[in-house]
Amino acid sequence: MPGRNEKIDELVARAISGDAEAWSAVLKEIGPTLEGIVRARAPRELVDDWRHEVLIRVLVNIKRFRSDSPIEHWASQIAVRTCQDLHRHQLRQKRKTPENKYDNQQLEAKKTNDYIADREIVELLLDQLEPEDRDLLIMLDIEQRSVAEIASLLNRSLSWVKVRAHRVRKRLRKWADQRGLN
Amino acid sequence: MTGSRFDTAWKHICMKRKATLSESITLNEKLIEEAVQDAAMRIEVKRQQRRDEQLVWLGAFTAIAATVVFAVFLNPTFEIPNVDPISLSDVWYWEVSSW
Repeated sequence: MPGRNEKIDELVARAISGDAEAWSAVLKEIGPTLEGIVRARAPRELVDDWRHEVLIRVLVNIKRFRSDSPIEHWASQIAVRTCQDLHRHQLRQKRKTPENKYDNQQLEAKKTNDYIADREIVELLLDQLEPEDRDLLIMLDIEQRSVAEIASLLNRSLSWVKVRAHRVRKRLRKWADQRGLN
Repeated sequence: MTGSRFDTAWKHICMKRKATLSESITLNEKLIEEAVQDAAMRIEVKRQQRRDEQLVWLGAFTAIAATVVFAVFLNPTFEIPNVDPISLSDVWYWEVSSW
């Protein structure tokens, strides 16, 4: 009986050669990992759209997969990058529309001691970070990945991850302080 | 800084999102099927675009090659008569020799 890894390797080889059945089988295997990445990053109402885009980009690029790393790791990199692209697009859209002004007004108005309101403010502040910075905090604090894993997913050095995480936390805290969350 | 409202809010966010992530995650057949179909379509569109680009390049290359062959091997020379350059009606007097 072949092990899971051999089975996946065989499926991936078939998927690379364009076998649509193998595509489905590969997605079934790596789907939960990708879904986790999307759920941690996408706004609740956009999870379906983001997931769909991630799955498509993985399949469209599967011919570029080289088996020097596991397929899950490679697909996770694509998922993280796709989520960053989609978040960047969303930020651009937001900055164009007057809704963003509404967000700022909301942020200013909620200087109460209500912890739910506090959480909403921090969520909004988190969404205003640059996609890579936001990802860094999500991976460190929510997904609880190691620094080495994050560096590999973002194609950065270990020291970059550590320094950047420190700066992003500081910036987020400063923004929160400015909104009275101290 | 520990114990600030920001820290509490951040802890709540992390807890809430971790709980979402720990829920059972399975992709249903329909989602996968849709993604496979759309990916196939996107690959086909890309292939078509690449083919169109190749045709454009091939056309451009052929045009350049034809011009070079014409200029180098057929060696055409144009004699322009001494006409008043302002008078456009004289243009038809131009002679083309060695065709």
